Amino acid sequence: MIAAAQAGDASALDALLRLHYDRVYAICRRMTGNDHDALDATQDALIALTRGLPRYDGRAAFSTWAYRVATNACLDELRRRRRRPVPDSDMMIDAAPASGIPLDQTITDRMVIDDALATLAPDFRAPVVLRDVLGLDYAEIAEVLEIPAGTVRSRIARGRKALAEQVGWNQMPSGDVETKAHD
Amino acid sequence: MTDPLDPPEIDPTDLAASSFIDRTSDDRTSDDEAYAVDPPELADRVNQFRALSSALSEPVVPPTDDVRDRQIAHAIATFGTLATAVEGNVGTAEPTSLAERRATKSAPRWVAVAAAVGLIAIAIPVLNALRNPAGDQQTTVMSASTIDSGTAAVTGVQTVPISRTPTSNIAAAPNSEIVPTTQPHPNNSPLVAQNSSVLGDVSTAEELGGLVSISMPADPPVGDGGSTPATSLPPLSTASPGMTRRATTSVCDANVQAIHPELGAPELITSASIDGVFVEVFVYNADATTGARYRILVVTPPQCQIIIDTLV
Repeated sequence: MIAAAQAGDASALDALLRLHYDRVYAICRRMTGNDHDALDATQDALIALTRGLPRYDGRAAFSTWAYRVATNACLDELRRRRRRPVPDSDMMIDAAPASGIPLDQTITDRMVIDDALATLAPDFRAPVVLRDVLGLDYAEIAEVLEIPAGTVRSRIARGRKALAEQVGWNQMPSGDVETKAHD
Repeated sequence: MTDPLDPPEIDPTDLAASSFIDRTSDDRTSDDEAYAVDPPELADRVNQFRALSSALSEPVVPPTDDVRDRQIAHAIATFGTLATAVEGNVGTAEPTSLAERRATKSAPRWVAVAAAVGLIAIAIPVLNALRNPAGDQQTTVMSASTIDSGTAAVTGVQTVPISRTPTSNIAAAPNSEIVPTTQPHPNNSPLVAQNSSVLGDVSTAEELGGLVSISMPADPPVGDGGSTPATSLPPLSTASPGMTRRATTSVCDANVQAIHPELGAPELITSASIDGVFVEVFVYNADATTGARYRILVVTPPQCQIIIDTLV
């Protein structure tokens, strides 16, 4: 399919993009924090994938390359917007969680998660998203982000720590992990 | 502030807890398990991180099928442009930067585009006047006319056949000024025939206006399929010897059809470079209820954003 798409087969390209669309969108949705920016970033990623396809050399798995392109598209989007995402109304929960609901259920509220993710600098947000949204392991994330696996490990840990603070689990300083560092 | 790429010493509890939850159960050793649950602080951290990870892994609600289809079609349309460029031996097209693509949305340029559309609109009766009565084939001539009008400089207004010709049929055109194509129309409707001896020599708005004044009085009603004033115009010429046949693919055809499926196939697709902005112009027969003859959409590749939607 990849070879056919590279050779100019539009139907193969269509199938290839459809195959990866949902995951590309998932990356963008979590990275940007709202539907509108996610769609913009997804469109940019699809175009970048299409235009970069002739140069894809097969050294990395296509999915790895696709996630790298998608992540870069999202980082471009974040750099361009340079603003904190505004939660979408459709992402609001219908009602406040009833008392007694465990914390781990409370934080499944997407708005809380999106807000918490938005506080992370993109360098930390990306590995967390790739790990927890796509389920990539450290080696795969290292390949996607082109950073050492040890760095992936530490950034995920630091990112999670910052997220935990954002949802109010502790008040430990998060330092440079927060997004204000890059604003 | 610390460089995020060179983080300071990380809390070993956080690192251990994070690493622990990312290991599969097969990877965990008994020591891991003991370490993760023994110190209460670490156990709490493991639970927190696990809850976060679980929340983040909740499925993202994907866009609707319509949105997905449109986005993919848009990307594939870009691919068509790339394939055409490569086949034409133009070289490998580099992705346009986000900033460059968004810069093309700047409003002042649309003013020029809007002015140009006016010229395109008045050119349509001229095209109709030159309609080929045979109707079984279309002969479309790309004109290298340059039309100056105030702020707009329309360069290389081109009429292209409505076809999805495979790029393998595309040959490089040594003469980029006038390139005729002959394509069967997919809808078998009468198609535009443009006489290069008439429009190919137009270089000013005044000249174009002169042509309009000749052809407009016999303007036929919408959809009558009837007579045209072609007899009052010079005889239709076919492709001149030595011209190279070429088809130009539309970048935005699929997108426009996805956005406005009710419009059906366009009567004409025209492309132009206007003040450095490449646009595609789609001309449709207008809904009879509008009282207009044509509906014109102007879109900007590669985003295929509709910047003008007008009735004439």
